[in-house]
Amino acid sequence: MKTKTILTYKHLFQVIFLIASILLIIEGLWGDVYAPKNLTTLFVWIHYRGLLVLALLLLGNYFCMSCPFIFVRNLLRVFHAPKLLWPKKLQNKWAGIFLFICFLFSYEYFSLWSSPAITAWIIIGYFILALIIDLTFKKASFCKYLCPIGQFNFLSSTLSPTTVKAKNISICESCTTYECLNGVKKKSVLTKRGCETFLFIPKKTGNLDCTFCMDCADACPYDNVTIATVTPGEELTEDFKRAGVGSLSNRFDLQFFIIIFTFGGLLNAFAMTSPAQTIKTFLGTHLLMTHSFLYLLSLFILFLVGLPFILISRKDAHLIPTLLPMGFFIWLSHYSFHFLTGLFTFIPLIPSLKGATHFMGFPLSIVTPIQYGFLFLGFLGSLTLVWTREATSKKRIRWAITHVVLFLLSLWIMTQPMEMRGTFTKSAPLETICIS
Amino acid sequence: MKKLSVLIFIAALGMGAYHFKTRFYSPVSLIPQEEIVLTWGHDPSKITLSAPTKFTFNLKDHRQNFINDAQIDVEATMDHAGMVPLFSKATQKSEGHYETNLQVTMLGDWLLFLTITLPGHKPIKKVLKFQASL
Repeated sequence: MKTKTILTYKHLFQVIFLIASILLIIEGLWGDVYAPKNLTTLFVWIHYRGLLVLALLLLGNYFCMSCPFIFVRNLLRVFHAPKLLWPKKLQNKWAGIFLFICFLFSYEYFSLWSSPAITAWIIIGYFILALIIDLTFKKASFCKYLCPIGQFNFLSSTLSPTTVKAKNISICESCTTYECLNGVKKKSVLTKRGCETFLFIPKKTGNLDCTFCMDCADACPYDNVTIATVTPGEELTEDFKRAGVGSLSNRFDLQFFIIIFTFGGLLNAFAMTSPAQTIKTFLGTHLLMTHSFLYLLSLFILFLVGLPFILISRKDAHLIPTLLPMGFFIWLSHYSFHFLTGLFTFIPLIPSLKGATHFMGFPLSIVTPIQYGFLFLGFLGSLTLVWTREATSKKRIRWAITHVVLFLLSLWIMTQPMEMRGTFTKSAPLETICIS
Repeated sequence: MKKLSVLIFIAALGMGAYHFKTRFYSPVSLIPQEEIVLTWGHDPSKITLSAPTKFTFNLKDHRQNFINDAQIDVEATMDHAGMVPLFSKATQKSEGHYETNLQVTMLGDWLLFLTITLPGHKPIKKVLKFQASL
């Protein structure tokens, strides 16, 4: 596809997502107060998340490409150009990791999915944060260092079938102006952006930190940048030195984030199952841990610290990226469950379609094998990486055992019955309403 | 020119949002709580997945008279978006007493949305909450 076509689609998707965001904010703030009756909670927590992971698996990081926050940021930068550079001490993933963990914790503690108003405020908060950061600091500081969705997408897109790369590397080798990185200037005024996450196309390997914004393609005077197909996970087979990222074995923050990403996926799925409620009751009865904050904190420490401490050795840090296939497919298995089982549950919520309530989604007899299939694919992917990356036999066996344990644990979690409790406090109280 | 285009675009978005909100989100009017007095229960007392649960509803007006011939549409859904709802209609068994059977499909917090239509009146909604356990 031509660069101009891709850019046209990109802007179209961004406008669509922007309009959708506005409509979801309105529905969340003024629509029905109950989550199952509100299109905002439905479309954000069920359809958006499901489509996001499926798009990452089948297409690529097109959700980052379609980001409405960045679209608005680009509009407002017409009025105010940021002057500052993102602080050097924060030029890593730690702030993004902190936000990601905070978001995971808030999701469970405040039952974000059960409140349309909170969901709407999350969207609003995202816009505000993205605009504050990117109107203060140059480049795509929000995307590269902070955005929790973006960080999730970057890691997941290492398994995507597409990547942004040079069409012909020999053209890049003869280039001396590097517009893909520096942008295009006319009379000292920047007329086209270069890569705002510092990914230099000739040295770029894989999808980490790539938002698919195609600014590099737009800036390239030789039309030498495109979206090309790749083997999913290929970028993880070796410890490549990546432009704008470096090598993963030297990035402790990224290694840590891969661990959080993987075990966070397990935690997110586990927290709404019956065993989680059983543990909560046990802790309340025998350890007098009745406060849900403490219970949740214990769960987080168990999954994000305890389990990794048992299963992963710091000495084998260069094999930590092999967790990514398993981690991504755990998220995919979980989100696709909700997406496929509740695919058409929005239909009764649309007044003109109120009567059509026959088919709400796919039955468990179809969805459950798909979930297991995803987990198995993740397991196979992780095992494959263990054997392709450089390592001694002893380390390979140790990591293979780690992946077997993760696979069995994720399989067990996905077979547990769902049991969501503690959401009533976030629902609106009873009231009698007269409707016409 | 660029700034003007951006301003026009933002203004158009804002006006569109305002128009959408006022067109589709008018405030609902509340009727006095006493118009319908609803008491309800379920059998068995512990709702499980293994067997259907009988939900009973008793309707009285503010003068404590039983309300008969009401149409009660029941929708049960989990307090989580995307869960498949259960639909049913409660049938009158005796004076002011209505029943329906539902077999819940998941453990956890459930919402019961009742749409009660009295003869010659506008429908009234009531929302009830219950939990399903092992």
